[in-house]
Amino acid sequence: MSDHDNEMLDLFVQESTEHLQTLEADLIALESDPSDADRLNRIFRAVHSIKGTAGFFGFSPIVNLAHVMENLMSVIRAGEMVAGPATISRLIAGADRLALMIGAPANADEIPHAAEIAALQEILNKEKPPAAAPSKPAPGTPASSSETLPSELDDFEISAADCLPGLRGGQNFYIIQVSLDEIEALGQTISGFFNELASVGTILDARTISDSTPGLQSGAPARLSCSILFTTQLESGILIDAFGLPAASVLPVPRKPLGDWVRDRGAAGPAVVLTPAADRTIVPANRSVALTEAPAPEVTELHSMPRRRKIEETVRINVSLLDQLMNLAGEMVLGRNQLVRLAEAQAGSQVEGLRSAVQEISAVTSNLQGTIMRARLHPVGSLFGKYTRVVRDLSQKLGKDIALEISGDEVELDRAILEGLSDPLTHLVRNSVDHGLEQAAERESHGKSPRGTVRLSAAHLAGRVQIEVADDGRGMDPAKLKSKAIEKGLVTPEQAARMADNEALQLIFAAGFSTAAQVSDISGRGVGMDVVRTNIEKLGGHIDLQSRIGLGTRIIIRLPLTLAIVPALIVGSRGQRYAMPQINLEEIVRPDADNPLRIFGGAEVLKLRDELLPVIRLASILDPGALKESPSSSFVLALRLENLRFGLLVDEIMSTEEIVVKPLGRHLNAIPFYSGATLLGQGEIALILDPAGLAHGRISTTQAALPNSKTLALTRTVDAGRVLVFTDGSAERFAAPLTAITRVEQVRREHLERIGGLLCLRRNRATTLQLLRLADFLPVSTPGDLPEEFLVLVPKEPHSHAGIVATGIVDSTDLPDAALDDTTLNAPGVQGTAQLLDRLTIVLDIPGVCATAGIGLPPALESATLSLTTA
Amino acid sequence: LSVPVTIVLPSCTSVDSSVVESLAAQIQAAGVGSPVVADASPIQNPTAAEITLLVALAREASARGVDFRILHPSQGLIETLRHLRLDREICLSPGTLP
Repeated sequence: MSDHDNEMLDLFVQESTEHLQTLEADLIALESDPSDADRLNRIFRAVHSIKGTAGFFGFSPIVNLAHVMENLMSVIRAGEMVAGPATISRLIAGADRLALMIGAPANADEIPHAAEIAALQEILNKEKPPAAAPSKPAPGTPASSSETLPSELDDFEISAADCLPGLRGGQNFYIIQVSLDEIEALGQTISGFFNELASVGTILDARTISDSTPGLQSGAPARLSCSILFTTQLESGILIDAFGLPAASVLPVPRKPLGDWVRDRGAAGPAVVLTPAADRTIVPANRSVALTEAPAPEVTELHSMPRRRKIEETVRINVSLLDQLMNLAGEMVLGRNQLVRLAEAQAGSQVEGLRSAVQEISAVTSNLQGTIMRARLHPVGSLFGKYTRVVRDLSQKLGKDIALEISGDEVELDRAILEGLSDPLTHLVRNSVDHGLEQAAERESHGKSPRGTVRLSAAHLAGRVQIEVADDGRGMDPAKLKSKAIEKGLVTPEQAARMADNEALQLIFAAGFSTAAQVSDISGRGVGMDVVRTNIEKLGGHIDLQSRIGLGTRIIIRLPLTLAIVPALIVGSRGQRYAMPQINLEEIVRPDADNPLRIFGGAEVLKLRDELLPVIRLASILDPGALKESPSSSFVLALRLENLRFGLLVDEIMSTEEIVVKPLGRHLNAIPFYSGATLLGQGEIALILDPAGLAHGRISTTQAALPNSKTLALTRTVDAGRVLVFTDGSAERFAAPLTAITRVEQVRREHLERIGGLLCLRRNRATTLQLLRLADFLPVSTPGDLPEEFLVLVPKEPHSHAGIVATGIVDSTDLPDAALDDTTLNAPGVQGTAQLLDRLTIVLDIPGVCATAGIGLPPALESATLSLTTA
Repeated sequence: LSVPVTIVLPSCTSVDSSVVESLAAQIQAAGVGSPVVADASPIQNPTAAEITLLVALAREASARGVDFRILHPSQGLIETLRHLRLDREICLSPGTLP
C-alpha cells in the first residue's frame, strides 16, 4: 500500500470513528424521541458514509454490516416503524461491531458480525417481509397506493441508471403535474420554475401534455401541462409548500416498486443497493436475497467519495505532535525565563536593544505557548457523551430506570487530562448506577421518584475544572463502610472507632475495598476506587466524596486546566523559593504597625479592608518547629480557593514567572503542600505550592473571611458528625454540632441590653436575640466577664431567636459516634463528652440547651404546635 | 427546392383567435413537405401562451406533414423548450443551436 493509500485509509478510520461516536449518541437520544427527523437523518447519513467509504476500500464485511443497519434506518426514517429500545440496542450492537471492524479494517472479516446482521435483519423481516412472500392485506384494507407505481411513469423516457443515484441516496421521487398557466400563476417563468426545481433536486424527465386537441382552427390552442419526474430529499409537504403547488399536482412515486421497476428495466452492472424505505439488495432473480453478500457500491460513485470531501478550515494533527509542540514550548519558556534574567543582569551595559529584543521574544514565547495550549484543549462533552451509552446499557442490564443528566459539556480540558479521566469516570458512573441507585420499588418505598438520576457535570472553578458524578441513590453508610473495612482487615476495630464519618467514607478508596454483596461484571471487585484516586492524582487532580444516607453520593474531582504552563508568583520562605500559581492569588498585603496580624478566636487574622482574613504561615506549615516570629518584611498572599479565602504569610516576594509544571517524584508526591515542581529562570528548582493542601485542616470554614456584616453563614455543606469546638470563658470546652448552628455572629459587649433579667442583643426594630451563657444552665464552672468582643452561635430554626455566647472558636472537627461518652456527664442540653482536639469537650445538644434555658418556639410555631396537639 | 414560408410568431400580447387562425392557415397553405419557418425573435422569455401557441403550431405542422422549424430563438426560448423536453418535438433552424 502506498503512502497515499495509507493516508486515505487513516482518513477513513478517523472519519468513520467520528461518525460512530455521533452515531452512538444519536441512537441513544433517538430512544427518548423517536420522531426526531434531524437525528434520524444524521444517523442514516453516518451509516451511509461509513458504508460508502468502506466500499471504496473494498472492506466488504464493513459494507455488509453497515448496509443492513442502513436498511433498518431507512425503514425507521420513512416512518414505517418506530425505533424502540430493542431496535436501538441492536443498532448500537451493530455500531459496536462496526467500531471493532473499523479499528482493524484490513482484518474486518476476522471479526464475527453475522449475529449482528442477523439480529438487524430479523427486525427488518418483521417490519417489512421480503418481497418474495408479501403479506396479504387484511380483509377490507384498501391496497396501499404506496406499493404501486403510477401509470404516468411509463410516459417518461428514463433509464434504470437515471433512477439509481436517487434510490441510493434515499431520495424521494415525485411526478409533478402542473399546467404552464399554473406555473405563471405562481409568479414564475417556466424556465425559472424548472431552474428552482433543479436547485433542490434532479429533474429526471419532463413531458408536455395537451389538455385537449381542438386544433388551431378553433382559434384557441389547447392548454399545455407539463409532467415532471423529479427526485429530491424534500418531503412532499415541503415541496408543495416551497413551490406553492396544488397538493394534487405532486404525485409520490413509491420507492420500492420503483426499485423493482428499475430492476425490471435491467439495471446493468452489480446488484443495486437500495437505501430508501423499502430498500433491499436487489439481485438477479436466480439469486436469493442474501444481505451478508451485499455488494460493494458502484465504483464510480465511491471513487468520488473521499475526493468530495469539503476543504475545511481545520486540519487533523496527531496528538503526539501536539505533545511534542507543548514540550518544546515548555522548554522555550524556560529558556526565555533564563534569557530575561540574563538581560536584567546586563542592565546598564552597552548591549543596545537587548532588553527590547528579550521583551519581544518573551511576548512571542508567551503567545506561542498559549496558542499551543489552546490547541490541546478539548470539550469535556466528547468524554461525557460516551456515558449516555454506559448508563443506558447498565440500566437495562440491571433493570433500573435511570436518567443521566449532563451539564457543562462545553468546558474544555487538556486532552491528556481528558484521556486520563476516561477510565476513572467510567468507574464512578458504573458505581453510581450499580451500587448507588436503588431499584425502582426500593426508591418508591423511600418516597423517591422511581427514576434514579446520575448527574455528570463540569464547571470552571477557581482556575480549575471541577467534575462531579452525583447520584440520588441510597448514599453510603459510614458504619457499614467501617465494618466492611474491619472485615477485610483494612483497619482495626479501634482505628474504625476513632474514625470520623468523613474518614470512613474515604475507606472506599482503599485497595481491595468493596461493599458489594456480589461481584458482578459491572463492579464490586474492589479494584476500582483506589485506581480512580491514583489516576486522578496522576493528573494533578484531587478527588473528594460526600454522601448522605438515603440522599445520594457526590464525587467531586478537581483537575488543573492543563498540565503544562501556568503563571506563578515566586515567593521565598526561610531562604527557599516556592511558586504559587497566580490563579489562586487575589492580592498581596503587607502587614504593618497600623494593620498587624492579630489573634482572633485562637487563630491569626489580618484585617483586610472590612474583612478578617485568617492567616497561616508557610514557614510553620513546612517546618512546624519554626518560630512564630515574622521577619520584619513579611507578606500575606490573599488566596482564594473556591469558597474559602485565607492568607498565606511568606517572607519574600521574588518575581512572577510562567512556570512549566513538572510532576513530583514519587517520594514527594504524597506531600499535600506541593502540586509539582518547576525550574526557575536562574536554573534552580522550586516547588509549586498547592493552596488546597496548605489550607487543609488549618483553615476552618468558621475562620475563613469573616465578612463586614459580622455574621458568618456556614455556607459549606456540613457533615452530620462535624462539630464546632468553642470556649465560653469558663474552664470547659464545648462542641456544638454544625448541623444545629446556622451562623456565628461577632458581637461587641456595648451592644448588649438587659431586659427582665435576660441578656439581649437588638438586631433590628422588630427582633432581639436572647443570649444564653452556658454556665447559667449547665453544670460547668463560672465564666469570667464577657470580653469587649465575643461571638454568638445562632441555632437553626426554630431557635434562631436565641444565641449561645462563645468567647473563642477553637476549630471545627469530626465527632465520631463512638467517641461520644454519654455517661460521665449526663445533664439536660448535653449529649455527652468527647476527647476532641486533645481536650475533653462537652458536646451540646443545642435544642436541649434552648429548652433548658426556657427558649420556646416562636409564637407562631407554638400556636401551630398547640393546635396540632389539641386536634 | 421549396422556398420556406416564414411566419412571424407574435408576442403573447398579440395572440388572439384571429392571429392563431391566420398562422394555422399559413401552415395549411404550405402543403406536405414544405418548409415553414417561424421567426421567434419577438419571444424572449416565453410565456405559457407563447409556448402553447408554438407547440400548437408545431403539432399542426406535424399533422400536415409540414417541416416546421423555429428561427431566431432567444436563449430563454431554447432553455424553456429544453426544460419541457419540447426540443425533441420542435426543431430549431440550423445554426440556431448554441
